[in-house]
Amino acid sequence: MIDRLEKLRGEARKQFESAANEKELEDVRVLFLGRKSELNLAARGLGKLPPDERRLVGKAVNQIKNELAAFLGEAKERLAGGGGGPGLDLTLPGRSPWVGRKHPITRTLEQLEDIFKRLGFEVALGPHVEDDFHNFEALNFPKDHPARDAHDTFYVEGGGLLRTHTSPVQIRVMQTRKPPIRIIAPGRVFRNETPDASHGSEFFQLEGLYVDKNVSFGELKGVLIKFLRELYGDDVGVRLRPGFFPFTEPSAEVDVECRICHGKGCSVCKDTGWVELLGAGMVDPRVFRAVGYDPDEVSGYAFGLGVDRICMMMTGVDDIRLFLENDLRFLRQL
Amino acid sequence: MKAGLKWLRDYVEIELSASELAERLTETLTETETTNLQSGGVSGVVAARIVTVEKHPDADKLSVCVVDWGDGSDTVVCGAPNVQAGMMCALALPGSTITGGRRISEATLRGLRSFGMLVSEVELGVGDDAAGIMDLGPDIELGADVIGFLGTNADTIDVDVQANRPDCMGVLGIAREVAAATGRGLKRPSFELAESAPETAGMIDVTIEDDHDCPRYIARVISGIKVGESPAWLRERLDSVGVRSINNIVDITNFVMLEYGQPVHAFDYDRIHDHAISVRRARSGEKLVTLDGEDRTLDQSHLLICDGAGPIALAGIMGGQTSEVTQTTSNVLLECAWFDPSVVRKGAQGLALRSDASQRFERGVDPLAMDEVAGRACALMSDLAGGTVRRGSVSVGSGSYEPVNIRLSVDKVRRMLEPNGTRGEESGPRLDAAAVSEHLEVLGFQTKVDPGDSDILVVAVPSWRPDVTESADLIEEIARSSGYDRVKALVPYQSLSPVRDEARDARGHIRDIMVRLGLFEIITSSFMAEGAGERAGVDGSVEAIVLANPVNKEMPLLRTSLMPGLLEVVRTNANASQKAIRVFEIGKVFRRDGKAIEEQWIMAGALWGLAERPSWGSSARAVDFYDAKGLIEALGRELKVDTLEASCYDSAILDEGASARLSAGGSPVGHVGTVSQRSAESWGIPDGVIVFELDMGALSTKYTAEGRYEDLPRYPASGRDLALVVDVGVAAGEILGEIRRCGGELLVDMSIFDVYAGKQLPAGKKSVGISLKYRSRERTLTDEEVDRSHELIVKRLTERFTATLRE
Ligand SMILES: [Zn+2]
Repeated sequence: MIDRLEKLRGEARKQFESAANEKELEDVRVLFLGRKSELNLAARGLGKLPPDERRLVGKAVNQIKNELAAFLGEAKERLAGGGGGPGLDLTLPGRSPWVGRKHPITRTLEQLEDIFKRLGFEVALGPHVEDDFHNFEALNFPKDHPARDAHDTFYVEGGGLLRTHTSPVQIRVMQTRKPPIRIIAPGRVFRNETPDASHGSEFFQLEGLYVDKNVSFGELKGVLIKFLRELYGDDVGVRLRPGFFPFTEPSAEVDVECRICHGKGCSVCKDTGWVELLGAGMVDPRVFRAVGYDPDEVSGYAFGLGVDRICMMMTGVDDIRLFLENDLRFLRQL
Repeated sequence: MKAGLKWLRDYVEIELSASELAERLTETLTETETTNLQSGGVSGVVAARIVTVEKHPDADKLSVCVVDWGDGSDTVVCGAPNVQAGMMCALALPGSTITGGRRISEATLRGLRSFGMLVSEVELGVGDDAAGIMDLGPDIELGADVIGFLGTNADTIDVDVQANRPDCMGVLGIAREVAAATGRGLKRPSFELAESAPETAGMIDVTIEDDHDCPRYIARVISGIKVGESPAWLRERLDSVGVRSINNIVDITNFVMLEYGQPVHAFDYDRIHDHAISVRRARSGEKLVTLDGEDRTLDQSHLLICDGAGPIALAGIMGGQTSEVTQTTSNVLLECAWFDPSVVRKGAQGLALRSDASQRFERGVDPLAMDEVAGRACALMSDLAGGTVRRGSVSVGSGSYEPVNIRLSVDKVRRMLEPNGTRGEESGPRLDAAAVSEHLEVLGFQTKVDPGDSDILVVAVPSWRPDVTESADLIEEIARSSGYDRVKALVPYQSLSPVRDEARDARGHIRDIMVRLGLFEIITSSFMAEGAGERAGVDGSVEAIVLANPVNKEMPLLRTSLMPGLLEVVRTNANASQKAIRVFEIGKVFRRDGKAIEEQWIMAGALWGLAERPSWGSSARAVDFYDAKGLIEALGRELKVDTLEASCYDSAILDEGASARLSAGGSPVGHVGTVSQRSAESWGIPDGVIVFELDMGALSTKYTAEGRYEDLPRYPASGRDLALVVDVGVAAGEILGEIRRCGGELLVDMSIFDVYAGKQLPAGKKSVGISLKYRSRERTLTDEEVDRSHELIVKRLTERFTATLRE
């Protein structure tokens, strides 16, 4: 019985302390001190106990009754606005609401989009299920050409394929609009690869395209350097070197100075001091012809980057598969 | 493509180190690395000759060797099967270190003393052959430091050759790029070809079925060869690029392929039936055992080399066993041909057989080098295998090569690479015709100024550059050979006003709100298991899109619903002992509609577990239907969607009694409900998961991003509460709807503060506590005015729902 009363005191304290308003407090009072409360019933049942026990329990009941009354008083004081006074344990953790968060890929995309929007780019989207023309043919990937090797493709029964890059959005925009065009195309892409720590079969890319009269390689370089400085700070080293993409000519691979070792060489950059971040180049005239533009009239540049990769570099995530697993412990860290 | 520095130096002077060269080529050609010898830590290993080999008296598998390393001679006990007298081997002397930091000391093996140890490639860290001790070949001096010897020999760069550069699939092509990048001249291979009668023409017959598949085929015959070991220089060159030496004939074909990038094939002339070669497509079901020992079944996509009896090789991919050169071969038929790139590529892909040869043919080999390549191979077979080269060749087909000439505007080059004027600023020395010519000519292009137009250079493209067909390609050559570093970066400027994508903005807006409401955004796979859609409540009539080649056979469909992915996230997180799950995804679902494929943006989410963040004062209440519904209502308020109405909703996965269809302005936008116990079991998720799905398309047309200002109320409001006792079947929504209809203009707000059913009420009744708020925009209302409005409502409600008022 005494144990039960002790436990009651604990429960009561907790509830008195957490009553959030007058009404709740009244409910708590009725529960613990009201006519039908356990304590009251215990007091009324005292008469049935043997004398020795009666004295002992009686004393405990009284004591607890007094304590509960004190809790009630404290709670009333608290609700009346007496916070900050004695009795408030300032070291107790506060009550936090739920706080949600966007997926790290979304946040990286937003960060990238934000930079490009400031540089005058608009966002364009396209379907995930594409056709051979938009994903390959118009981008100067001839059928049965080794250039397609890097693009392990998912094919859809009954025709079509899952886009292997966001570049088909370029084609769709150019087919429906006249220059000048300045877009970025962010989104999900698909490669038929067995996923491992650095390759997903689904991941995210961001593609950029600018077409106008007399767009030069220097402008491409300028926009990329500007973007990378916005992303990593003014002191970031940037290097363009020859690359190959069927839909750009000249093509460039864009490296940034390794953020881990600042160019000195480490395991992340395989001792080169550089990390490959973007592919870029001047739009190939064959692409312009495929969409009905005259390559003697307009020129343009295009670039593309892996969103997952940038997010991994920024956050230290070392396994790309984590992004689609959505372990809340993982999402809370980033 | 690997290229040893020593080999490259056959064609171009190189003063750079391997890593400097790799860096230079990375700037001008493509990503290039050095392949490091894993010699770290290995020291004190010297070259020694095995003088004698005897069996160990007490151990079958051990030999006792006397070795001589110049400075000394001693006995070494060795367990390798390939040990033999006369062999030059690597001796790890006592006190030396081999890979893994292992120190070698004098040892006693089965009672006999061993002065050090003979080591394998693996123990030296220079290769992966662990089967026996390393044979260093005859070229090394006794006592020489083995690592030093191998290291200088094996200085190799590895060039990531792009799909459009067949020329760089040969060391000579890389040497050409090295020459251009370092300003040196290129020395082409030189050889003298001595031919003797009889004429090849009388010795072999070649026919081509379709000259599209094979525009040109050259056959040559070399007689009286002796198959044997290759000389050191040849083995060394092959070794430096990781190709194993087999015998002089095979090594020569590999060498020539690696030198020029043009594969050649050696057949045993005497094993060719009828001495007749035909190039034709395979018949369906035809078979060939290739050199790798595989029995391959072919179809019409494969191009074959056949003799009088049948297939003897897969054209451009791999030879067959029946005509293979062996130790006893004495006459060789050499094939040097041009096979159609896409035919080779399809054939190799179909057989999953990517060979060194197919990788070159599918890029398109140099159509004008074939005679030289065949001659080079013949000359080597004569020199190294003692063969007699028969006069002339049998050459069938005229080839498909057409010279490419491009008219290049120097002004266009400048505009692309050195712009000025409107956007650019003046930037350093201008490219002129002479500079442009120079950049191109070092790469083998020939240029001349058009006599009629001094701005135009007429550029002849070399035959080994099929990737260059128009001026943009030439501009790339100029840009890369001068280095992209030289191009001045221009500050971007803005001339366009970007257009908004409103549906996408709406999704972003909704995503923001969901996060504000305390949910984590998730992104799940677009793939889905067979039948998952139906199990997740998708209507059976929805046709999913099927992948022809899924990466995961279990997930062959594009998702028709976000629910399967969402429930999987719930499952894994609940299994990871999360106490609360609050997640949502905004993503695409896919369905087939006849020929068309529809992609639709959906939001789905789930709540499960604790309703409040656990804390010392919080309740341990679990979320229920109303938490999820309230969340969607809060979203609706934020989107300023007037009212979200709930009505009955049937779904395969939701609990019948706890699911609701949500509509806005009369059209459905989604649903919310508790996953039924049965579905929870089948998805492996805990009970009590509440899910919702909303159609982003429907929602995004209904929302308002900006609110509208109205005067703030200047007069106080008066509140009246009422507790209506009604049948339990009466829906709260009906009561509120009725109040809304009859409330009059003074009623400005209403809310339900209590719902009670229990002992204090008659069975079958419940009490609904409603708080009403009255206000006028013109004046302070009197009690009488408020009472009048209130009583009117009370009267309507008691009549309509045969309700009574509770005390
Ligand atoms: Zn680094």
